[in-house]
Amino acid sequence: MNRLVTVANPEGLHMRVALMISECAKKYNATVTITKNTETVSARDVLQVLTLGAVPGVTLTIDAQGEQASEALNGICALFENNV
Amino acid sequence: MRFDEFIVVDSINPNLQATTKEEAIREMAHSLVDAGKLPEDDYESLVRAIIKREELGSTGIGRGIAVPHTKHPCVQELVGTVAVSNKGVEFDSLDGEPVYVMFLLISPPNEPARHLRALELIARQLRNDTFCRFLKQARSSQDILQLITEADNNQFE
Repeated sequence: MNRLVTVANPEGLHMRVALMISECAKKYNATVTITKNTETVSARDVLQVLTLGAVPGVTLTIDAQGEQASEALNGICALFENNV
Repeated sequence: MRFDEFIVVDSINPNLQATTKEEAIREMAHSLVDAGKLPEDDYESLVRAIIKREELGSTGIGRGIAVPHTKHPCVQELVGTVAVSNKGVEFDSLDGEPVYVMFLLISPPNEPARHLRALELIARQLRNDTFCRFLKQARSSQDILQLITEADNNQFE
């Protein structure tokens, strides 16, 4: 399952945000990926999330698979909805 | 973005003496002062800002890497330096392991986009195991400069 989110943080997806995403993704028994254009990375890996260089306004696809896919998707998307 | 757009060559440190986070930040910031890229008068305020940022969450992101950073009005453009520690630095890293490679970034307050691009570049290059391993093994400024130049020329892709 997947959902589109928009980066609303005025500083983009910077390190502290990447850490929050990674920590959130690790809480669930699910494989969570983030895709920007054609690049897909693991949401659990801070270094990979930073490679997206996601600036404000960019649209990302959050995909979750596995036992807790729904909870993971809700958790990650909530971070974006709260403008992390 | 490329490393040569913000890494101050004269500040590269292949043999960091510090073993604690604060000492490491101080030593790296001082190398930028010594290279003439930061005003001496702003040194303490800058170090305090970097440490304050670390208190929000360590920039030791695992794999022996840390990217301490801050915004500060003492710079007109993004400046950065890189240091390698042979002994390892206790950095409160995510994985609890010592840090061996540190990139320090200082951005003007109004340039978040360039800061983000520098983070993207550092992350992209350090994700490459060969680049990361060679950097940890570097023992001279020339070694480090050669590695980041090769990275700029896409030789690790």
